[in-house]
This record gives sequence, structure tokens and C-alpha cells, in this order.
Amino acid sequence: MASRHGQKKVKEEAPELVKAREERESAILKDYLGLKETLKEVIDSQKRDNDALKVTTALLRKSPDYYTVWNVRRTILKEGFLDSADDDTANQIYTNELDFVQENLKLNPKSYWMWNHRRWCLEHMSQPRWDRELGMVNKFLEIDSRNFHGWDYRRYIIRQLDLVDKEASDNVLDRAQAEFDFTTSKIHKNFSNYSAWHNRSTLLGKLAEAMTEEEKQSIVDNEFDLVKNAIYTDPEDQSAWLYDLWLIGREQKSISVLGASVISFHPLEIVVAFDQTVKLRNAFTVSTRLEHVAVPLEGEWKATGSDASLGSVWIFQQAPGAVYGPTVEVLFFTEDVCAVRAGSTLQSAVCFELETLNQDLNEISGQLTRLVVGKNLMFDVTKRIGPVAGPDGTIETQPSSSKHLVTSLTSSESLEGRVELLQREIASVRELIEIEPDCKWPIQILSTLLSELRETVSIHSMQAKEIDDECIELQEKLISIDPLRQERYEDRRTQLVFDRETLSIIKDSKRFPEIEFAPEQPRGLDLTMRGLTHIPTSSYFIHLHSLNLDSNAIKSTRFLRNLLNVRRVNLSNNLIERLEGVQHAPSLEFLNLENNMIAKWEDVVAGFVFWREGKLARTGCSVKVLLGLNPVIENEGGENVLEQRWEDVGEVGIEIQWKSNELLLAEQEELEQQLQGAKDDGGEQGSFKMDGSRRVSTTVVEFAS
Amino acid sequence: MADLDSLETTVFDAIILGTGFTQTIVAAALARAGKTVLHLDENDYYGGESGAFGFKELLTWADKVAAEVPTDEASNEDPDKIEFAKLVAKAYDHLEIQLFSDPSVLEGKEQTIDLGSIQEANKNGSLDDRTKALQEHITGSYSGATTKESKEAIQILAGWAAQRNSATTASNFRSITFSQIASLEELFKSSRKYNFDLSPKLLYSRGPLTNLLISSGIGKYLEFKLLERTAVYESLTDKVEMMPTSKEDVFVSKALSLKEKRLLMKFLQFAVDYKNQAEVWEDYKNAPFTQFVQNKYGLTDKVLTAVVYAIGFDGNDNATTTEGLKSVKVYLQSLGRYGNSAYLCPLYGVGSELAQAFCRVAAVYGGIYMLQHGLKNHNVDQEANQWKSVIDHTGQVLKANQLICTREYLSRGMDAYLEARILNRSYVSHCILVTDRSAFGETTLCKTLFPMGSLVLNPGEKPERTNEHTISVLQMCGGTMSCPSDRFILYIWAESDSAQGSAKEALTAAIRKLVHIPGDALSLKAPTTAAASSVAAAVANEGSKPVHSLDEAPPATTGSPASTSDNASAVASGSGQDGLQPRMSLDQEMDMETVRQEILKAEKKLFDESTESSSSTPVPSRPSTPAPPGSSGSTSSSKPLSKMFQKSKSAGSLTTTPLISPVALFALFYKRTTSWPRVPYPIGSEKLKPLPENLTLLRPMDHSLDFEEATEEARAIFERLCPDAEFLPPTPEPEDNSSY
Repeated sequence: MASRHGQKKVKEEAPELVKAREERESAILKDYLGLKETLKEVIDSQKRDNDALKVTTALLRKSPDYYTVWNVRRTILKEGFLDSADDDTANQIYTNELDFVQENLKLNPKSYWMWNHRRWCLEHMSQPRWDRELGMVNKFLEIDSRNFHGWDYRRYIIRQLDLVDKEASDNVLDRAQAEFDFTTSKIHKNFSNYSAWHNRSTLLGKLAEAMTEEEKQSIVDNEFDLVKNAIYTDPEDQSAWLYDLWLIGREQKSISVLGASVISFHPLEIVVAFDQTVKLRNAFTVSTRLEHVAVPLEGEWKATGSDASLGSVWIFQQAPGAVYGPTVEVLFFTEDVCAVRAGSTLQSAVCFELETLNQDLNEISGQLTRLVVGKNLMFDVTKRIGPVAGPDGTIETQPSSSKHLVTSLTSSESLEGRVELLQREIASVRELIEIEPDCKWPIQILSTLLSELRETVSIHSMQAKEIDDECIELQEKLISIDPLRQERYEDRRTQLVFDRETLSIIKDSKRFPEIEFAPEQPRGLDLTMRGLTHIPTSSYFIHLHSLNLDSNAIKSTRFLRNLLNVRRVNLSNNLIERLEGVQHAPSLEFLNLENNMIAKWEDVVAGFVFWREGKLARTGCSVKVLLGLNPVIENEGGENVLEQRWEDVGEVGIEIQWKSNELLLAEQEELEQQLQGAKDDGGEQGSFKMDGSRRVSTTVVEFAS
Repeated sequence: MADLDSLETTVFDAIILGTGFTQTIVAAALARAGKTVLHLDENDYYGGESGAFGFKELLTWADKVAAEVPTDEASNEDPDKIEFAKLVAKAYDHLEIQLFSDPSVLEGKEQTIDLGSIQEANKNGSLDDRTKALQEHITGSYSGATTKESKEAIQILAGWAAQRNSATTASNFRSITFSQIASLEELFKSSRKYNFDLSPKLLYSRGPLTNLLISSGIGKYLEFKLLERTAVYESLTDKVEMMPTSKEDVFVSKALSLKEKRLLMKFLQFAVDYKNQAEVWEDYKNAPFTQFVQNKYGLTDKVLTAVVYAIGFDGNDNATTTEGLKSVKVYLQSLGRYGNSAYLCPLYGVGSELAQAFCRVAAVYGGIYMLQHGLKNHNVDQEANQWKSVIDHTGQVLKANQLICTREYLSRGMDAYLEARILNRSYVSHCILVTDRSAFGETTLCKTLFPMGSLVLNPGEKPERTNEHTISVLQMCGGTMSCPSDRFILYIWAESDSAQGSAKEALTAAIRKLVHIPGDALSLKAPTTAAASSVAAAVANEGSKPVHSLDEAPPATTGSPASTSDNASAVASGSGQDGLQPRMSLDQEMDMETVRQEILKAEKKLFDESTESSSSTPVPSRPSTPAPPGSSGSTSSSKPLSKMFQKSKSAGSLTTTPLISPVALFALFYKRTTSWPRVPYPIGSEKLKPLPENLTLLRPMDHSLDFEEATEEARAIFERLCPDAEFLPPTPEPEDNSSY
């Protein structure tokens, strides 16, 4: 017997008990199904009387989450009772409903439909007792302080009370203060309460409106102190970290126009590159000077890629027949663009003046007749002009470039203030990492803080470089301690590595913190074995002739859509499953996709169908694609199958090599030996030839990086 | 089963002597297992050395244990004679009662009655004559002797003053003041509201005892309150500081730096799982716990104190790492079971309530109980070394197969045997102190520790050395039903290695840090000095009243009730209520089911309240846990925001020092022996007769904070006696029969 101590007793049910239970359960089920049937009859019969109401009552008692029944109930109440009731009767009905909901909420405090029904009643009552509601929700939060339904309902009540007090702003403020104190008390009891922290952040925003800078500052310090106490008490608790992250805030990113250029004169085509994916709210204004009068130039803006409404590279094409003068101006107003990344804006209007005098583009490119390419000339012909007058003629006041208002709290008018705050927080989180080297949260926050700090310095500064290096290390640490979120950290790491590797392409703009293209652009870029999972900002690569991405972890070739000048791309040893984005790479001559994940022929062909259909596609050129070591070769069976499929792409001049270079080398060696042998045997010399193999090249192409 | 008429003809499975805590568990377990149990106690109350008394009963008890028990010369030779009263008196020493002057009671009508002349004049008379003379003198001088209680008080005071050499009073009553009489009268009036514990202890919410109370169903008989806080005295600041002892405390604590918080939490996280991380502590297994914590976790002194004392101390000053980690773990497991505290405190006095609950179970299962039952002799079969029977005061021979008892119930011969085997002596110094307000501000139910060697002494203070053992303090409030709602009891106790030195000497230095002792300049300053000085000034203007004897407190140390500040009365009244923690029973565990029940229960109440409340300010309807000051909604509208935030910043700080120091009203000191042989049973050849084989001797209650060892002892005894039976299985309930 002694061995039974501490053991949980499991009651063994006697068979007769099991049977009895089953009988009871089936009775309950039968009862419930019967009610459901009755409800159906009620709905069909349009009955709106007390009996109908009773059916819903009975059903909802059994199954309060059956939301259709709540709807039926409201219909019955409205059409059968409320429409014909006077105020007092109506109020009585609503009060009864509130009691009914309350009774059910006790059993199921997380049912959307019940909270919803409650709101319906209150909103239709002539004199809802909001204060009483507050008392009720208080009780619910006392029992379960993390019930987000309760918190949501609480905010709703406060909104309603504030509406009543619309005129008395003091009351509203007092109420916000009381609510703020309420979150304090809940957090003191148990700080692992996302709802309470969240509510706090919304309330602080409200309270901060009435505060001086000094008061705000002391609040921020106070809040940091509170949240840090939580963090140091339990660094694994996510809710505190998220609040911390909110407090730190995010630098408001500005959209940078990296450059603009004319790429075709007949018709006129202009390309503009941004540092991030943007959406056009209004078309950018294009105008030209004809006889000293500026006239607008009609035309259409499209982003590169299959989705023409979204992208980091935009192309303007003039409407047929429009006339333009020796210069063309492109104007970007702040409200014209919005970023896909939340919070980024174009901080001031930008204007580019493009010359159209020298129209001999062949001289520059020598190859493509309609594309401005060549030695970094693309953006040499552009000239930036400072702040410009808005459409209504007023000069847009350029917002202070050091405005770091991110959340409503951590705003700081000065760059120094922001840096000070960041450095203080960095020091503190470093201290925690020292004690808890294997906790993921402080490392993530440190990375965020460092990135924020980087926003305040020049991208070419030593400090920026150190930050980048450290952040990359932090991501690697994160990958090792938190493998479940590996991909997320790898993406972040990719961004950081990318920023570090592309420093030669961009430079700081005079309009800090914006950036623009460096005057000297590299022709080729080698990014082999950098662990990249994607190309974060492919508009940076608009000038490149060759790009080597061998041995990374890139999953998509969509970035190719912005590589307007690229000739050679090496994507061997990546994770690409299909070919996309090549339609705007008209100069593409060589694409190495060896050892990727392409499993279907269609996934290759689709890409080139676009390529062929691309507006900029040209004639007579061919592109060579290396497909060796992709699953498609095994799946679809090499030469024979590909030959049958050839009609798909043959005409656009694609040359496919499905054997890997390595294999070819081996074969060639063998071939040479055979030839040697044949020679020795005195056989026909040189008869072995890949005849008619325009599609299937055996030529070994050395990739020049 | 035996009935009362056939006691003599029955051979019980076990006779248990004494209703102390351990005996009652054994009794309940044996009766529950179907054994016949006869449970006797010479006292007229339950609980033995852990009994609980009203005020009058406490004085009676003190008189009894202080009394000289004449040795019966005639039976000196009889080794089987039971000398209960004598052994009890022997176990207690250094009894001393102190009754302090609290002039505020009399609103300035304080006077002193000199007793010295009467004592001198009657010094050759008998005790009764002296008492009578003193009583007449006091009654003549004191005009307020109108109630039954005041007459009683005077009688008692006269009795104390009449004794010449008694340790009970010694020289404390050369003169008495009106306020002393009034104070005693007040204590008599509320005598029944007190439940003084002789051995105060707490339960871990998830310790062996609590688990036993739940699993056996015995907990149903009991009600509890959660201990609110634990404080520790710090030498550095010479102050008692509230300790962060839970995650929530650590979070709101302002005393710890962020880094300290992290280190503390890190250690606690380890301690929860220490058994699976033997590699961390194995090297320190037998090293002092303090050393392990310090070396391995690099904790600062402050955190070390919190870990080793506030969390890990269960009474053992020399805990090894193994022991320390074990008790930290029990503590951590206990946290959160019933709320933000690890300790439960039973209502109506700790030990006796538990003892009675177990006795009730024993009785339900046929155990026979007889209190106030005198015992004369043990019969032992010398040949077989078997105990046979015990003869009671009526001459009945009560027989059983097993005898289970504590030392006081041994025969003279057995006691001599035991005495000879004791090598190291140990004692516990106790003090029961009644005060007028909490020593910990708003915290009313709270424990405090003075770590060994930490007490900073005032120059010239006695004892000259600091405390050799940790001093434990437990403050009880009216909410525990152990005192009236406007009074507090401080239990102060500490282990002691020597019979030398009184309990008063051992504990006074600690008491001085907590309360104001009238007439003791080294204790905390008298409350409301500002108010007092203004009163003094007023008195001076009127032409001051005569100064009283030097060893009494000046009469105007406290202001009259009317002149005490609002704060004072706020603290007094606020803390005098039910305490901050609600009462609870053991089934109120924090799980979803409870939460549901709670909603159902609260529902009606909720509606009543919410309809009544016209303000929109969220005010929790029931102060279930201490609301941080400043966080309950403020409604005033003209407050500048910055100030309001300042307030919320200070919210949650663990306030320690009360605004007003409590005043000591009454104190009882005593020292109890807990000496115990390392091996109570014979080894090899002995000159003295060894104890009978079928006698189980229970250890005296020690100084530990909890009942866990005693519970384990009871379990071990039961399992030895009934190896095949289950230890206190659940008592079947009627509703268990219908499983649905």
C-alpha cells in the first residue's frame, strides 16, 4: 500500500457505470438535436413569439458558441417584441438579455458571441449603464487577468464612457489615468500579461498628448524601468519584451530615390530606382520644356515584374506621339509614393532633370539599341534638384531629417536624444546577455537596438560597419540557440550581409538619412557563399553586368526583374524551384542554374515565355541556361524529352545545357580518350560532333565572375 | 471497539499519551487503519506543547509550569512512577511576565502606585497575606476597579507582586501604574479572543503536512490565511527589510538591482529542478548551503539573504546544501498554490487546531479520548522489556500493545535513562508579545528572521554577544483569529545551546528592533514623537504632573488617541481588519475549476455591488491581494500628471518600517528544553534499564518554522507499526458513492 503514496488514483469504471454514462450522454445529445430541429422550424415558420425565444434560450444554454442562434434570437427579440415595445418595456427586455448573457459568460468567458450580444443590448438601450458594465468586466479580469475578451470589452466600455464625456476632456484624461493605473496593478500581480501591456501602450499614447516633453521623458524612463524589471525577472517572457520593443520604437524610415535615367528615346522611356518596394499613389509628374514653357508629358508608369503596381524599379513610357524637348523633369511628391514597409515615407519632394540631347545610345551601349547601358552612365546624366514647389505652387517645407518620432512616446526632437536612449538600452541589454548568454530575447533586442543606432549614422562610417558585423554574429548566435526560428534569423542575416556587401553601390545622400547610387558603379559583383536566402533590394543591382551568387540559399529568382543590364548570372548551388523575373533582363546571355531545385520543365519555360513577351525583348540574341543537376533532368528524362519540348522555347533562342559542367568535363575527357583511341584505331577522325545541337550545347562555358 | 466501561478489560492496540501534534497524527492514522486507540492527556486542553490558550488560560499555564512541584519523597524509590507535572515544569524555565504601561489608555490620568512599602511591611507574612495586603492597597489607590475584569486584574497583579523569588515576575512589580491595571483589565476582557500558541509554526502550501491534510480529507476541518510577507533583518542598515520571495515580489522590488533580480531568479529556476542538475551542487553536498549559493551563483549579500533566509530557512542554522536546496524547493513548489505566498497559517491558533482536527478523525474511527486524565504508574515486564499498562489516577489499569508518548509521560526510571543519553542540550527561547499595532505597516500576517550573528547591538546592551542562532518572528493579526482585531501578537523564538541565559536576554535585542518597549530606551522610539512632544509641551504649560518612578515609562510618550495623527489611526484601523489576505480552505487551489466556482459565487455579489457603485472608477470589490498604493483609481481631477506618475512609480515598493512603531503591551518569556538524545534506544550494555521495546517516544517540538519533520516522524512511526496499511487514506464521503 505504501507504494501508492503520491500516485494519482485512477478510478476504474465499472461496466455498469460506463453504460449508465453512455445512456446519460445519448439522452443529452438527443435533447440537443431535438432543440436544433425545433429551431429550424422556428426559423422557417417566422414565429416571433415567446415560445420561439425559449427555444433559443434552451439552445444557447447548451451551446453558447452556436452563433446562428444568437442571430435568430436577436431577430425574434426585435421583430416580435422590441419593435412594438415602449421604452420601459424595451429596457426591461434588454436588461433580461444582459442577465442571460452574464449567466452564460460565467461558464464560457471567452465566447465572442456572448460579448457581442452584450454590446448589441447596450447599444440599443436608451440608457445603458456603462459603469455597471465596468464593474462586471472588472470581476472577470480579477478572475482571469489575461482574458483578452475582457480587456477588449473594457476598452470598449471606456470608449463609450468617453463618448458620454465628450465635452469634459478632464474626465476623459482622468479615466485614461485610472485605466493606466489598472494595468499597473494587473502587471504587478502577473506581468506575463500581453493584454495589460498592450492596453498600457495605447493609454500612454493618449496620456502623452497632454504632457510636456519633460513629463514624457520621465514616463519613458519610468516605463523602461518597469519593463526591465519584468525582463530581468523572467527573460523568457515574451509580453514584456514586446512592450520593450514598443518603447524602443522604430526609426521612421525614409524612402530614398536612388536615381533616374532615360533608357529609351523613341518612345521616351525613363527608369527610376528606389531603395525599397513602393506603391504609386499618384503617377510621378513628368514634364518637358518646349520653348521655355514647361508642359506635362503624357505617359504611363509601370513597375518591373509581373505585378506592375508594386516594385522598387519603375519605368515610364511616354504616350505615343508626345513631343519632348532637350530636358525632361521627373518630380516626386511625398504623397505620390507609399512604402510596403510600414512607416516609411518619402520625406521631401525630389526632382530629377534628365537630358535628352544626345540621342545616340548606340554609342554608349553598342549592343542594345533601346537601352541606356554602359559604364555607369545611366545616372550620370541625371541631376538632382533640391526641394521643389508642390502642385499648388507652395514650397514643401522639408521635414527635419532628424525627426525620430517613432512611437508617440520615444520621440526625441534631437538625434542626440535618440542616440543616448539607444546607447543606454544597448548597455543594459548587453549586461543581461552576459548573465543569460543563451536567451534569445535579449539578443534579438540588441540586434534591433543596434540596427536602430545604425540608422543614426552614415552607412559608410566605421560604426555602421561594426554594427553590421556584430548584428550578423548575433543572427548566427540566434540560429544556433533557437533553431525553430532559423529561417527568420537567416532572412535577417541575409539583409545584413547584403547591406554590408553592397556598400560600394550606394552612398549617403546629402539629404540624410536618405541614400543614393554611388557615382562609380561596379560592373560585376561576387556574392558566392554568403548564406543569402534572398536578394533584399534588387534595385541596387540595376547597373550590374554580371552577378555571381554561387552557393547561397536563394529560393527565388524574382530579383532578376530589376537587373536591367545584367548579362551573366550564376545561381548555381542554390534552392531555386522555378525561373521568374527574367522578363526585364533583356541583356541576359548566360544563366547558370546548376544544382538547384527545379523539378518541372514548365517552371523553366514559364520564365522565358515572359522573357520573350517582355516589352524589351530583342531579336537575334540567345541566352544560355545551365540546368544540370536539377531534379527536372531526372524527372523528365534529359535529352529526349527536352527535344520534344523544344517547340516551347526554341524560337526565342534559348540554349539549354542539362548536363552539369563537371559531367561534361568528364565526358570530354573520355571523348578525347576515345578520339585518341579512335585515332589509334585509325577510325574516322572528328566524326563525333554534337550535330544540330544548337539547343543542346556541349560547350563548356567558363563562368567569369 | 472499546467502550468506556470496559476500558480495563480491553487491550488496546495503542495507548497514546499527550495530544501534541505528532501524537495526534499517529492516533488518527492508527484509528483510521482500524486499530483500537486510547488517547489520554493529563492537560485539560489539546495540543500539549503546541497548545493554544486564551489570555487567562495562558496565565494559568504559566503559573503551572513555573510552580515548584514538591517531590514526593515516599515514592522516590518507585522507578515506574509518572511525574507529568514535574517533567513539564522541568521542561520550561526562565518564565517571565512583563506588563507594560500604556498611558494612552487612560488619556493622561496616569498614576503610579508604589508597592515597595507594602511588600516590605508584609515580607514575613505568608504569600496569601501578602497578596491580600497588596490587593487592598491597590484597590484603595485605584479608582477604576469597577468591573469584574479590573478586580481580577488587581488580584492577579497583587499575586505577582506578592511573590518574592518567583521567576514569573521577579522585580517587575515594585510599583504598578494605573495604565498597567487598565491594560491587564483590557486583556482579561478580551481574553477569549486570544489564541496564544506555545509553539507557533506555519505550513508550506505544498509541503508534506498540507498534502496530507488534503489527501486524507482532514483539511476540511480547517481554515487558513496566507502568510503575506517575509522580512529579514539586515545588519548593514540595522533595519528589517521585506524580502522578495516570489516572482511578483522580485518584479516589483525596488531594493534589488536588475542584475540581482536576474541572479536571484536564475537561482530559483535552478532550485526548482535541482534534483536533475546534480552536477551543479554535488561537490557542495555537505558544505554549508550559504557557501554553495555564494560560490556557485555569485549572489550579492542582499540576494544571498533572500535565498538563504527568506526562502530557504526552515529553522536550521547549519543547513547543508542538500538540506537548503530541499527546503527552497518545497518553498517554490508551495508558491502560487493558494496565491502569492508559500505559507499557510491556520486560524484559531496553529498547533491546537491541527491537533484537534486529527483527533477528530481518530475519534470518528473509534479512538477514545480522555483529557485531564491523571496517570500514576507504568507497568513494565522487566524480563521481556515490554511495556504492559498504565495505571491512571482512579487506579484503572489501561492495557495496550503499544505505547506512544512524549517525554513528560515517561516514568521516573525511563526519564532517567533518557536523560543519561542526552549529550548535547538544546533549548528554544520563546516570547509571546502583544502589541497595539503591526510592526510591519500594512503587512499584518508576516514572518521575520534575524539571521544568526546579524543583530547589531547597542553599546552596553545585554547580551553582549550578537545572536548565536537565527531568531524567528511571526506576527499574527486579528484575521488569524488569534487576537482581537486591534491587537497583534508577535511570536519571537530562537534556538539556544545552553540552559544558561534567559529567554528575555536572548530575544530582547531583536524585539527592540521591532517595537517600542515602554521604559526601554534602546527599543524603537515611542510612536508619534511629534504628537508626543506637542502633548508634552501642553502638559508643561499646565504645570506638569509629578514624574513617576524611573523604571516606568514617562506617561506622555504617546499622544492621546485624539492627538494621534490620521495616519496612525489609518494604519491601526486598516491593519486591524481581517488582514489583506482572504481566509481560505485547502480546496481553494488556483485552478480553473476554482475560478469557475469563484465566478458563480461572486455573481450575485457582483451585481449588487455594480448596481450600487455610481462611480466609474475601477475599485476592486475585495482586496484579495495587497493593492499597490497609488494604483487604485484616483478620481481627483486637478492632479498634475507628472505627480500621478510619480506615485505609480513608487507603487509596489515593499514598505518595511511602519510609520508608527507598535508599543509592547504584554510579554511572556519562557525557555523550553528540546534536548534529545542522538540515539534514544539502547546500544550495547547499559547500566540503566533500557526503554521497553513497545514504547515509541516522540521528539519534542523543535524550533523549526514548519511541521514537516514532525509530520514525517508521525508517518515513519505509523509505517513501522502498521507496515501494510495506508497512511491516512481519504476519508470516504457520502457523495463518493454516486460517482456522477
